[in-house]
Amino acid sequence: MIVFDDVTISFGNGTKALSDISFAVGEGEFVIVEGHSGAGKTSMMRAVIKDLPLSKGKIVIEGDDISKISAKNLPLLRRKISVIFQDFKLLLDRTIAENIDLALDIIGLEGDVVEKRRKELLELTGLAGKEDYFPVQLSGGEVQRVAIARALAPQPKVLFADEPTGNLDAKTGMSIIKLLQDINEAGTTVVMATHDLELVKDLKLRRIRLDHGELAHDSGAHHHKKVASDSAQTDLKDGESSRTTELAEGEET
Amino acid sequence: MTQKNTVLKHMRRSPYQSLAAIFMTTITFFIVSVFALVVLGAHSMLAFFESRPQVTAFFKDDTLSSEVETLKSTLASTVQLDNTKYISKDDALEIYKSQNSDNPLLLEMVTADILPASLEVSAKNASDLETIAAVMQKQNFVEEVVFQKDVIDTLRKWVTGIRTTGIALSSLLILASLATIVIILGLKFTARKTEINTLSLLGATSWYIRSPFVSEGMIYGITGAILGWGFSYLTLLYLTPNIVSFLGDITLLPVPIWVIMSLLGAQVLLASLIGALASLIATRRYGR
Repeated sequence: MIVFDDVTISFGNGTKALSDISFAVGEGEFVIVEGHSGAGKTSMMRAVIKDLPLSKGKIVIEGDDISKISAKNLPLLRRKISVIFQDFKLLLDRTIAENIDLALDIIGLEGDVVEKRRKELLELTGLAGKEDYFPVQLSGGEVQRVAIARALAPQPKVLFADEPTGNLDAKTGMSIIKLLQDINEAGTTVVMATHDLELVKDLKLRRIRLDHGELAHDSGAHHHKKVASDSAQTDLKDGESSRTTELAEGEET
Repeated sequence: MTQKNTVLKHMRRSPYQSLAAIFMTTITFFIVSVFALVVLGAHSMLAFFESRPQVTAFFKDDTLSSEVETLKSTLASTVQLDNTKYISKDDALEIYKSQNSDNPLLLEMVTADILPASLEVSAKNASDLETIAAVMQKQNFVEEVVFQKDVIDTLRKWVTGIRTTGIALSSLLILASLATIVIILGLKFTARKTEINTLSLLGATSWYIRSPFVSEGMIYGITGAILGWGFSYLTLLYLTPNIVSFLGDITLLPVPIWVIMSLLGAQVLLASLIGALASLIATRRYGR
């Protein structure tokens, strides 16, 4: 489903955020990307939604090489791959309901559908009754839940969570991880980046460890080859052009 | 709150910038309205003078009707006439009476004998007026020839001058309005950079991000157009008694309502275009 193929991201001053990274994530997986600050976790997430250009290699999502996705079709990619940002990126002058409604408005939902979907998301994330609060009126854990609710609004196939437990105590952090696991069990692929190795050490999940931009360990490395191979076969079967058409049609709707 | 609902909120948050944009567009469309009305009025005045008998010959008291008929034939064979009208002394008295019906003293002092008979002639081509006047002046029974070509030529020059000045001034003001809206929306766009970046990361299309700015630009333009038009119309209503008294026989006022509404419609359309263009320029980075 997601293939990182020899991905390198360099900055102008020669610093490498990622260096020759290759791995694959299959549909429905829950993967933890762990590493200390500066390991390249955030760069990896930004690259997936084309917020950071690749210097080398390619990222393939559902058979589409994202470097070939046009600026016109980029919004569709970003609705398919949702990211929970480390700094949340919530609009502080809008209520929780308005922040979630914004994400629903972007995908073109209107009226009662928006209200119904918002209620579902607030219940799922345990925020029912908080819709009229502003982000600054909520606790760290609640703000994180708002970010999760907003990220889930477009019903993405993949959810990338960048340090979702970053500034939370252990108990609240675990509740967020539990929520992400529930989301994963409902069918969404989840990739969670964290530097808190202690918090996730007991979780029986696939782990990818980054160290100074390099792939230090992948507990599901055997899986990488299978997913990458499946992805290549899908490419040959469906062809690039049909996928581009699908993206274009999706954009119009 | 969706993007569509944020436009008014953002206008309220920076009221002075919004007021500056509306003020500039109001001045622009006030001037555009004033010049449009003045040019329309001047054209109507021109049409009024052109539709009037353009050359009038006043006859001596002893002129025979056969001589008048001969003059008519001569003129008809010389140039293409639009219309000729003979006004006898009695007809002239009737006209005089109707024009001075509210002044009995003037009516008592005038009889048909002291008023001259005349021939009013209008040509199909304005260029024939001089020929007509020349033929009339050669006749020994013609006392005086009144020739309106000079008045029309002067009026034409004024109309051309007013129109040229109006177009030049309006164009400059429209450019100034465009620049003002571009600068104001550009500042607002930059101030909301973080929010816009978030929208983009959430999958918003370029148009979704730009459309509130386009709406805002159009609101500035349309509000200015309506206010400018409104002020100019109020000014016209206020000055109507003075203008009517100044123009005398020339009935330019009241301006037909369809003309006023057409002017409003055209200005709203132009203002929408200016607002939309300015906002697209201000947010062009997201259009690429």
